[in-house]
Amino acid sequence: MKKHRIICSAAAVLVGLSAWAQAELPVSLSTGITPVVITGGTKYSTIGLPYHRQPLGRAVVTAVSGAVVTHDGAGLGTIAPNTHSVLFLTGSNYGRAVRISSYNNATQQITLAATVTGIALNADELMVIPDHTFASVFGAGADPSGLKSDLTPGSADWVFIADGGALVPYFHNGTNWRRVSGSPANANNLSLGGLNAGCLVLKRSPGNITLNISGVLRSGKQLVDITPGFSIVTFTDVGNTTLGASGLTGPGGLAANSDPNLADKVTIPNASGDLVSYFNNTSNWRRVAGSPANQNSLAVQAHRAIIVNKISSGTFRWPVLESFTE
Amino acid sequence: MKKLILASITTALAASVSSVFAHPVNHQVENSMNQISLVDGSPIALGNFVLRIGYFTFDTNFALNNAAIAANVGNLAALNANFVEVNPPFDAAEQLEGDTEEFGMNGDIISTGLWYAYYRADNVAWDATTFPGKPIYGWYQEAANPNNMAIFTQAGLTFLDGSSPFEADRNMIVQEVNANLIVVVGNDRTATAFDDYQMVPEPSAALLALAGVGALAARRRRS
Repeated sequence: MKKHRIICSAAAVLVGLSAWAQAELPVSLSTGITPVVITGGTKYSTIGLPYHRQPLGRAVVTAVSGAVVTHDGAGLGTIAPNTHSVLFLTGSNYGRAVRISSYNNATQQITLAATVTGIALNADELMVIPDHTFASVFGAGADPSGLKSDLTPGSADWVFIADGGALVPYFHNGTNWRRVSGSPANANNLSLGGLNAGCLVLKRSPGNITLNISGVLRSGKQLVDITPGFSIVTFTDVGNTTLGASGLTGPGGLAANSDPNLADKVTIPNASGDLVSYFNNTSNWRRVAGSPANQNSLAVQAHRAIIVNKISSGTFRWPVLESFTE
Repeated sequence: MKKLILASITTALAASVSSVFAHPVNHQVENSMNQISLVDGSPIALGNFVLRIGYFTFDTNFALNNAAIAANVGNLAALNANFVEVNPPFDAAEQLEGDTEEFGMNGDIISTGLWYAYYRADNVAWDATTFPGKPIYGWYQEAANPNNMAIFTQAGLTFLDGSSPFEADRNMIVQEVNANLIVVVGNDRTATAFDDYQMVPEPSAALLALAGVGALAARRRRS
């Protein structure tokens, strides 16, 4: 097992799931907690979420019809739409996470947000995991985790998530999380976007804070679907990697082009907390504006996320570095 | 010549409680692969050129605008009168200062004849200007003789507005592999051994040069 950054050593976590008659979760799940600094003073910080929440359960796929996957065993109970994700544990889709659009407890049928092909019936296994939410990551009360609440959105700190290809800001109004513009509904339990999603914090208020991210360590291969539009993608927790070694470009990957206006782009806050965008000019990564120097060695830090602006068509299935080798 | 002076950025603006938060917007013109040369073929270098970033107002139709620019190469007054630009231009002072990432003009040399320059503005101030949505032009002139020039633009490339901090960088790269680049004024010598874009003199100066060559040839024939 490769060394990775967790404060608590891997510990046995017993998960009682009496509803499951078959394919139960393993007895031990590795958990961890890591502090992540959020820069203050109208600065940006990405938050990667390599730890996921406690799974609901694990099962074998018994049938597939389009985007509907049927699993064995008893039903999982009530699952609200767009609050959980499926992680494929075996087979050709191993490491791929797909959001659950809806669930039928009576028939054990999961409707996925995307069609998954190549599933071996009565063989491939999946795990159902609740998505991270605003409350689960930052907290539900006022000034969550030290972020500033305010009735006026322009005075509060913001958290952006990717939704439908757009970056949507939310803030805490002193009572609950909600969108900056649009529905004022309580967003405390709104999914941050699935297992592979990270988020972007704009901390207007001065001073840095530390956010402790924690959960079950996601291990093994990770395949991240990057679709057209904006995405905030959690990066590996193994340790820093670089743009050049990220695997984001290449056959089937993000579009590289000598013209930045035709290339897909990646945005990462710099050390000062300012957003900087990069593209691959077919030879190397470089800034969109500013010095054209080679940025292949730019570090992409552990426990962070990257913002992808995919202007090219089609979905790129990005193979992220493994947390550790089993 | 129309110039647009953008307000300097203050801390108070950045700390605005508006729901539209301040962020930088950057517009860049660079030639990172192919040199740009003066009329005499020497590459642009510190202090011998000026790069002006803006848009021309001859015509709202892009093609007609470009045609009007080309037709006015010998009329510097008309070109100046129909050019709206960021201030300051990338002149000797800015070239000497280098890339400080400050609000205003920045840029630096990449290598001989290869430069980049970008204008950084606060999005709120930028949105108050007339630039958003206009086609981007990079106007190179010889510092010693502004009648010698090259002008570039790119089909479909316009100045950004300041609505998104995630789409706040725009870059027009003057290079041979840029299929959308338009050399409105200038020589494209990239297919030659020079591999560059060359400024051109105003037509009257070019004709005088040709006339001088013709007179020399006639004198030699008579002798």
